[in-house]
Amino acid sequence: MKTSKYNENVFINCPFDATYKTLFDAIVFAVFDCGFVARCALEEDDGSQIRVQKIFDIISQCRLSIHDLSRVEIDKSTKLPRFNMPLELGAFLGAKHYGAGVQKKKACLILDREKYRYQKFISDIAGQDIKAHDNNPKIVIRVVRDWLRTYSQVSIPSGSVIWSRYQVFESDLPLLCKELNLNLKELIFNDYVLLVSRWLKINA
Amino acid sequence: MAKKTSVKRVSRSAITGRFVKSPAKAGSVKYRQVDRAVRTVSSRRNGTINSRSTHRSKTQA
Repeated sequence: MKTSKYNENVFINCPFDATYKTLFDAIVFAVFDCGFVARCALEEDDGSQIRVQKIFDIISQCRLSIHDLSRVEIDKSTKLPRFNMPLELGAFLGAKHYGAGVQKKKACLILDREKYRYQKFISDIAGQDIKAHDNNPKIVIRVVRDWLRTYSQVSIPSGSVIWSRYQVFESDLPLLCKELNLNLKELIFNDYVLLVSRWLKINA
Repeated sequence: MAKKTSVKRVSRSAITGRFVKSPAKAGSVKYRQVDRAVRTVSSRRNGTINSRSTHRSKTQA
């Protein structure tokens, strides 16, 4: 494994539903604007690979990760909580603990909508620094940027600057899609990250 | 014997010189095609139309 890519890869563990998309897009943009590469389970669609194995593979390739527990809540129809995010957080912490070499250098950012809510459902991670984003993309961009600054070799613009750039990108996105014959509502993760990274390369 | 030096290919932002990483696995559209679209949209936003766009719009008209 190339250590340079490993150090730059950021695994994003979050819900992929429509209600979370605003935050997800903001996180992906912030990761790229800070000079890192966003990775997540949506990047590959290999029906022959077991989903959890795909997640383990990506985790092993990422030094950094962002885990958002804000949607761990009771589902109205099943009356059960969604637990994919805590499971993947556990896999990441396990890789750091039991893994060898570069795996030991793993670091993660844990997010929730309120700062101490996690203590009610996942108290074993008490003592870790959980950041609250209040379901606000502007806040999540600042939190992600401030955390990534610790792991960057170069200066990174402030959260407010990245937020301003994100707003310009958001206004350009429908026009970009039109130019490329893409339907904005049908953008897949790989399309989105390509547009973000190339837009930043030219505009940042 | 001279020491071997490795040449590392990097990608820098055209404006700030900051490093900008590209995704590990590219999607369904090509870089060059995307770059052209980004430049076109950025130029429109900034009110500057490059010569190629002008030529195309005249041709289409």
